[in-house]
Parts: sequence; C-alpha cells; structure tokens
Amino acid sequence: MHILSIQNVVKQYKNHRAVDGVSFDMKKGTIFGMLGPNGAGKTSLIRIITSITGADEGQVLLEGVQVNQKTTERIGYMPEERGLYKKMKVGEHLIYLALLKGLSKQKAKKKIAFWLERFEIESWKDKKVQELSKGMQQKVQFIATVLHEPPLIILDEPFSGLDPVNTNIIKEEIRRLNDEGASIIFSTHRMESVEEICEDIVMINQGKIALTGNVQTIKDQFKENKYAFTLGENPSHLPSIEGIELISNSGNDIVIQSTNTEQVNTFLKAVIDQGMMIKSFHEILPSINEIFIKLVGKSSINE
Amino acid sequence: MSKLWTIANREYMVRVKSKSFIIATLLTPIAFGVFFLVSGLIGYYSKDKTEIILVSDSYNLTGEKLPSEGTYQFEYSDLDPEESRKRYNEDERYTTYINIPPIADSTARKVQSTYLSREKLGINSISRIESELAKAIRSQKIDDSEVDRAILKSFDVKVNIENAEFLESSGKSSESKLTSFVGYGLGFFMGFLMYMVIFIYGGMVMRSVMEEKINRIVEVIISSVKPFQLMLGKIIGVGGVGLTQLLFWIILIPAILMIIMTVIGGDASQMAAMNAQGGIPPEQLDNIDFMRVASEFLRLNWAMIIPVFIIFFLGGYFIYASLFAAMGAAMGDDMGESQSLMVPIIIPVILAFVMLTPILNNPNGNLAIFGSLFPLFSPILMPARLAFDPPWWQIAVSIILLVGTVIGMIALAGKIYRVGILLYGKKINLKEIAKWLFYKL
Repeated sequence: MHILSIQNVVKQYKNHRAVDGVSFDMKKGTIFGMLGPNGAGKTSLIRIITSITGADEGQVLLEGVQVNQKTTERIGYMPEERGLYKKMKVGEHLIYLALLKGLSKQKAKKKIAFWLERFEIESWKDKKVQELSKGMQQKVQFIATVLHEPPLIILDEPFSGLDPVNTNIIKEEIRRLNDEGASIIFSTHRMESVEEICEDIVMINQGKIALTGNVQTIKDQFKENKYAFTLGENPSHLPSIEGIELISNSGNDIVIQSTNTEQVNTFLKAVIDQGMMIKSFHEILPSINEIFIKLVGKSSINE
Repeated sequence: MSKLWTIANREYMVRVKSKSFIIATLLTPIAFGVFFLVSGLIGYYSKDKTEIILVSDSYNLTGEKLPSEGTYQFEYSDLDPEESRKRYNEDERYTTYINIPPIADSTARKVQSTYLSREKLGINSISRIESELAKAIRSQKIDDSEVDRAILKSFDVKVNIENAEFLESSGKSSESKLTSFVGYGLGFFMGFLMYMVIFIYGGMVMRSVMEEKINRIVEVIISSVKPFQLMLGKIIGVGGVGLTQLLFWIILIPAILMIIMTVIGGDASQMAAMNAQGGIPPEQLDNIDFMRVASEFLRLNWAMIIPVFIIFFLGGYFIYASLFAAMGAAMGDDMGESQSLMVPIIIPVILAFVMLTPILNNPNGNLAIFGSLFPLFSPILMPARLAFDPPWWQIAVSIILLVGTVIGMIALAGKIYRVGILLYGKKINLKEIAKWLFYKL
C-alpha cells in the first residue's frame, strides 16, 4: 500500500521546468528521504503534494485520492521557510493552526497539552512567540506540524538552525512518530543526515529523478567492492593473491578491491598467517553524497 | 467556510486585544474632547475685555444713541474736545477716547473721526466700534429726516428661490440654502470618512500581509487553507476592526463632548459651539441657527442614506483593501523599493477626493454622475451626493457596478496575492504583477 504516489508530475515556471516528469511511490509507514541540491525542485514538488500549487501535468495521489484542499488535513507540512506570529501566545497559536487543520477546539487543546508535556515545555503555553529563542520556536513549529496526527508528515530541512541537542530531540520524535505509524518525507540538501533515518530515498536534480530506491540497495548497487584494513604494524610486504587488487597502502591502512569475496577471505588469511594483527576490517560502502556526486557530477551541486 | 471564519476571527481578535488598538480607540475621543475644551477656553479667554469709551460728540451726530452697556460702553462727554481729551488723559477708567468732528454736508456718507487708546485697538475692536458709531449716526439721521421707519424697513427686500419640485412633493417649504448647507456638510463628512477608512484600514491589511510574508508564516498557513481564504479572512477581520473602532468613536466622541459640556456648564458650551462654527458673530447666526440646522438634518432621507452609505462603505473598503492586500503580497520586505506599487491605489483615491468639493457644489452635474458611477470613485463620491437626493436609477446602477467591481477586484487581488506571498528576494514592478494575473497555479 502506497501512502503517496507521484505520477509523471510536471511543473513549468516561466523560465524553467521546476519539476520535470517526476514519478515515484512512497510506501506507507516509511521515512522517505527527498534529496537534491538547492533549487533541484524539492520545494516545488512538496508544494504540489500539499496543494499549495497545482501540477501542470500528472497527478499526485495521497492514500489513493487525488490531492485537493481537503487532503491537506491529512498532511502535516513544516516548510523550510517557516515562521510564527510573533505576538501570539504559544498556546493560542497552536490552537489556531490546529483549527485550520480541521481539529475541534477541545481536541486541539487536549493534543497541545499532550505535546507540550512530551517536550516538557508546558510553561511556554502563555509565553508570546517573540519571547522564545529560534530553537524553541522550531519546537513549537514541529508540534504544530504533527498536532492533528496526519498520516503523512513532510519536513523540509527540519534541522536547519537547530543545535545538536535539539536536533537529536527532533530526530527521536521523528522515529517515534514513525513507529506509531506515520509516514514521513524528509527533504534536505544535506545528504549525510539522511542515511541514518531514511529507509527509502529519491534523489532529485534539475527537476528530474536522478535515483530512487532503498538506501541499502542503492549503496550495494553503487559499491565498488573495496575493503579497508587497519593493521597492527606496518607490513613489510603484502600477500599477492589472484583477483585482489591493491588500491592503496599508506602506513597501516590498506584498501583492496575484489569482486570475489572468497578471494578476500584468502587474502585476510594470508595476512594473518604472516603474523600481523588486524585491528579493523570493513567493506567500504559509498555515502549517499558520493553516489549523488557520481551520478550528477559535482558541477550541478555547487551551482 | 469555517476556516475563513477562523482566520477572520484571529485577525480581528489579535488587533482588538492589542494595546495600540485600545489606545487609539480611547485616545481619539479624548483628543476630540481636549480639542473641544481647549478651543472653547481659547474662545472664552480671548473674549474682548470691556472697553469704556469716552465720546466727544459736540454736534450730537449720534444723538446720544450709543450703548452704555456691553463690551463697548460709551460715555458722552459734555465738554469740548480739548477738555474731553484732557479728561480722558486724567481718568484711568477710560480705555479709549473718540472725537467725532462736525460734518459739513449732512448727506455725506463718510464720517471721519479719530481715537486715542491706552492699548492699541485690535482690528476686531475697531470694526465693532465703527459699526456701533455708524448704527447710532444712521438712527439719528433717520430721526432728523423724519422718514417713517416702517417705510424705510420695507425697502429692505430679501429674495429666496426655492426648488419647485421639492416644494410640490414635500408640501413643506424647504429652506433650500440650508438644505444644501446641511447636505454639503454631511456629504463632505461621508466622503472624507471613506477616504480615511480606505487608507487607515487598507493600510492595516497591507502591513499585515507583509508581516506574514516577512516572518515566513504564510507557507505554514496556506498548507492548510487556500491563499484566497487567508486573504479574504484577513480583509474581513480587519474590516471588523474598523467597524468596531468607528462604532466606539460614534458613541464615545459625542459622550465625551456631552460630559465636557455639562461639567463646564451651558455658557462655555454655547461658546464652544459658536467657536466650532468658525466663530460666526451672533448677527450672522440669524441665518444659520442651530435649531433649524438640526431640524433640516433630521428631515434628510435617512431611511435611504444609511443603508446606501453602508453598501458603499463596505464596497469601497473591500475594493481598496483587496488592492492593498495584493500590493502587500508583492512588496514583501523591500517596502522602500516598491513604493511605485502604491501608485495604482493612491491615484484613484486622491482623484476621487479632489472631485469631492466640485461635486458637492454641483451634486447633480455631469462630473457628479460620472464620479458616483465609476466604481473606483463611487465609494467616496456617491455617499457625498446622497443628501441631495440623486435619482434612484443612478444609485442602483452605481451599486451594481460597485458589487461587480468588488467581486472582480477580490478575484484579481487573490491572483496577485497567491503568487506574491511565496516570492522572495525579487524586486517586483507593476508589469510583473500584470503577468501574475495569467499564471495558473
């Protein structure tokens, strides 16, 4: 079952095609990474999913239904450009945003009490937004995004401007919401932050999909069968075994490449037999960032 | 619909509960009261002090008819001019001395006299004394010539022209000059009120749109509601604020004025009322006395004026507030650089305001008909004409055009608004905005 299905979506602006024939499906209950450099078309696509703008071509199905004004209540969206009314009190502000999402006032109050307690910030309720620090405001924005228990949560650069402590708090909440059944789209241009939380990703570049799939599968697909060793001492000479190519040998650190895992084992054994200690051994998997650069070239990222 | 209400309600409550609203709502009537009080007091204390004037009128041109009471108290001297002057110099009681010399020709129309005064006489005092002297001399001349006063009075003819249609339809004798006077006042008041409302509350809508764009909340909101709902909700909410404030002022301003009147007492109030009239001297008040103005005012066709005014009030507000909202959305954080965007709003309002006075002077002329039908002007100019009974078909056509323009303008503004609020860091001109109207979203 797909919570979200994007089918051949096109969005044309005056001078450029922000979204150019994008199609992908998102499994229900997953954390889904939407990656790409600034200006790749991520925000344009999100705005189509949230019905802020309409697609020129193609369609977007949320839980099997073409998105419309009504489906916005099934989505919680935290935009990259986010703010709050400075002069409103935190409690009032959250009620207002919840009412706009179709919640009743009673239910909104109950949910707000729950979330303020969860973040241990009950004392903020009667504070004005302008009295809060930027990080504190981000927490309020996060609560506003998830308050109405939407099945789909879209977070656009959720960690920008957050210190490491608060980043971890929000990360934990994202995982918890996911455990409770919510599907989450996590949009960012910072690839490294994706690997640890996302199961599936879609990479977007210049309005088109560069790559989509499961993170582990993609990494396997792009791995170069390289293995790294760290030895206990500087090796005088390394065994030479057929099918094993020595990539680098700098001091104690050695990198080899081989498509045959049995040969790798043979190599390992030979090293041990030489009486050397192996401090570490691991397969080198490419980072998402490296894969992206490999796919689209460095130039388009630094643009 | 309920979300539109939620938005309008927030816009309303946030403003009504704000300190600046409470201060402005209370301070304005107080400022009115203070102005009223101060202008009354100024009038009271600048009242001329009593002048005691010694008159040497050896040929009795005034026939001892000068008043000995009031602000200007005249006292006749039985001595010759030289002695009289000495007496004035010696007796500090006299503030002024006047010498009326003989006139050779009794038919002469000019009497030349001289005065001395301890303090230089003000222009007002001089003309009051001159008129007292003239009145006395005239009266004495009439006595001398033995003309019958009744005949003389009959030469004093007044002509009044009346509107025959009005006379026939109402059966009442109108005081047409007074009617135009009252209509002019009411028309100017309503036109000016619209002008103020457009700029004060339209400006409030614009600032609020810009604020939402600048503090970046707008995308959060429009992921829940349509931009159009947000814009319309804001316009309705701020409109409610405007109506609330006007309502408070309508109640508070007369209440404060009344309190001041009762506290100071009738004397000061009369004075202040006179002052408010622009200091019209009592003799002229004959023409425009308050009871007649009041009754003329009550005789206006209020059953038509009030509902029609409300229609134009709302229509004008919606037209201009939606324009302000659109421009606010296009403007964003670079208000200084985008002042040119205000031009299409300011020009029609100023034009209408400039047309207000000529139209009040000729409330059924061609300019008046055009101005009160053209929907960008009509919210200011049609209310101004209402006291002059414009033909009903003109009101009807004007309302139809107005309602159509309100709907069209809100739709147009909505198109500009939804593009503008999500656009950052780009300098916008009117040409660019025109293109937005054709964007599909």
